[in-house]
Amino acid sequence: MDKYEKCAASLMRLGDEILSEKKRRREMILRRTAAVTLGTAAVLVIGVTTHVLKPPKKPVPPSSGIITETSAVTTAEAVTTEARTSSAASSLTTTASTAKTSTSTESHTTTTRAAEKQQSSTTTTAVWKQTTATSTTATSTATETTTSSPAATTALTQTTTSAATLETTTTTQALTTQASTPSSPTTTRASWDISFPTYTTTAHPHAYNGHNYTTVSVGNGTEQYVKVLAECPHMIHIYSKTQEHYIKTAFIYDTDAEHSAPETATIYSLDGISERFAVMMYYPNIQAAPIYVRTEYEPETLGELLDDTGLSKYMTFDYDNAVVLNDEESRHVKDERITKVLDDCRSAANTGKNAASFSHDLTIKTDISYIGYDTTFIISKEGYIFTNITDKGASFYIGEEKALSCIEYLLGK
Amino acid sequence: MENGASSYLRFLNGDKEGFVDIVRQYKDGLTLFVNTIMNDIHISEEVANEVFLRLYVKKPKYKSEYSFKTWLYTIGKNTALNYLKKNRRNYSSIEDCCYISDEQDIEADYIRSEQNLLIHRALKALKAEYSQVLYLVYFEELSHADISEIMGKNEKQVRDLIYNAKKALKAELERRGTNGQI
Repeated sequence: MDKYEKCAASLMRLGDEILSEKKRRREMILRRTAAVTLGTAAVLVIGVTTHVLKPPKKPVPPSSGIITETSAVTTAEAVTTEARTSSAASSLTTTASTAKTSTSTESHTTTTRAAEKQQSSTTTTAVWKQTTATSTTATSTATETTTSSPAATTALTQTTTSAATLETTTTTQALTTQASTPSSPTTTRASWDISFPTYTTTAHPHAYNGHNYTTVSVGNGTEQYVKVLAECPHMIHIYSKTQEHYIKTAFIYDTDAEHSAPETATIYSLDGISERFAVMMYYPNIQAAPIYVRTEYEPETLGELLDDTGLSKYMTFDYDNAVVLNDEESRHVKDERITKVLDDCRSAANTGKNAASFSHDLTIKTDISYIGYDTTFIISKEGYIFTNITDKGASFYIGEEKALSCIEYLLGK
Repeated sequence: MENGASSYLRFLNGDKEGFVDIVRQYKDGLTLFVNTIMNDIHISEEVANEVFLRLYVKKPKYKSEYSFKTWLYTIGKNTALNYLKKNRRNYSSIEDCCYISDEQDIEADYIRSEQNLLIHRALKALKAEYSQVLYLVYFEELSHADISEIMGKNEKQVRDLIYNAKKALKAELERRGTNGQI
């Protein structure tokens, strides 16, 4: 073997060692890669299998505890639970003092309204246009009680739960009413935000024809409701069923377990009041007929508001201090003057401005019987007429000059 | 003896004798060529061994457009330049396994002519480029095209380089007491 063969042999031996080392490393890498790949594949298989076997996720209801989602008859019991929970909260509100109760109710309503907006578009359609509406929602809100007589003790708790489907409307209502006939006129105001009609339920007893009524509430105390229903002054404005002025038939659910079967309710339009603004629902089984005021209602002009709400027919004024100037000086103003001012401004357009964005120079206190809560018209020298008759409020622009002339006219100048 | 290309093809086909033939045929010449770059016969032999080891392990693809010697010397030049860049000795394993000759032994074995031996020794005093191109011309008898491929220059540059290298070699031979005839 010459020196070249020796050199070649040593090179080949060294090369073989390098090649075997490379081969060993390659095999090691392959083994590691295979292990990692198998592990990953196993994890994927487990993950996919778990995902496939996992039951479908149910839609989560809104976080608000007072909102319950229900679908047709099968979920009536679940709605019941929510309604009762809300009733407890409402009872707490009712037992508070008048001033505090009012504040509490407002905040509660505000809270529920946000949730309500999520549902209102479909549910409103279900009621009014009788088109497709599949979602059902129940919302309960606060109860406010105002007692004018110290002797009168009225505690009103009302919870309304509603459900709407394509052709039927379902309402569940739970009541706990502790009412006694007051010896003096008592005004009880109750309101509910329910998502399916998206109306605020207003039921309020009034002194009428010498009778006093404590409440118009919905629930199990049917005897009281019969009386109220029969003698409620608002019933005179309601068309009868035989006149075929009812809007549609709705199903309701009694939240009481003993009356869990759905029952039919009827929605009535109110005489002189647009259905866009308010309707009444009559629940024969529980003998209740609350009036629902549409929370989304926004008139385009002041004239539209006057027409839709029937103010010319139902609006009265507080004669003791019908007009308050700069929130201080109260004056009595004849109804004709107020009506004339409002009629003169019928073409004023709704700007949607918040009442806090302009000064309140003159306030007209009004009483609209079927609404059940105090309403006002505010005239601002900045050229606006604002009213809280609608749930959202409405600000109509009439111009600074006309505003000043209206104020002077109302003050008799 | 068959040429290097066929030997390499035999080696690629699994015949290790082909590799032995390549080593036998090109080792000295490659070492002396690398020595024109490294100017150290021992390092040059290490670099040459590294070139052969690369052939054995990586089995690079032979470019048939050039002669096998040109291709091999190109690899040798690049390996030498990489070695100079790294400027370190990491060929100890090769030193252990390979017999490292003295430069004179290699010269004596590879360059038989006395005159060529004198010329080869005079090349060491020249610039690296001059010694490379003259070695490739006179000892490896490569064409200008092959030399240009190995050195990474075009043929005109190679011709100019050969001209200047001859002048430098003549001056070196005259300085060494020869007549400068090459």
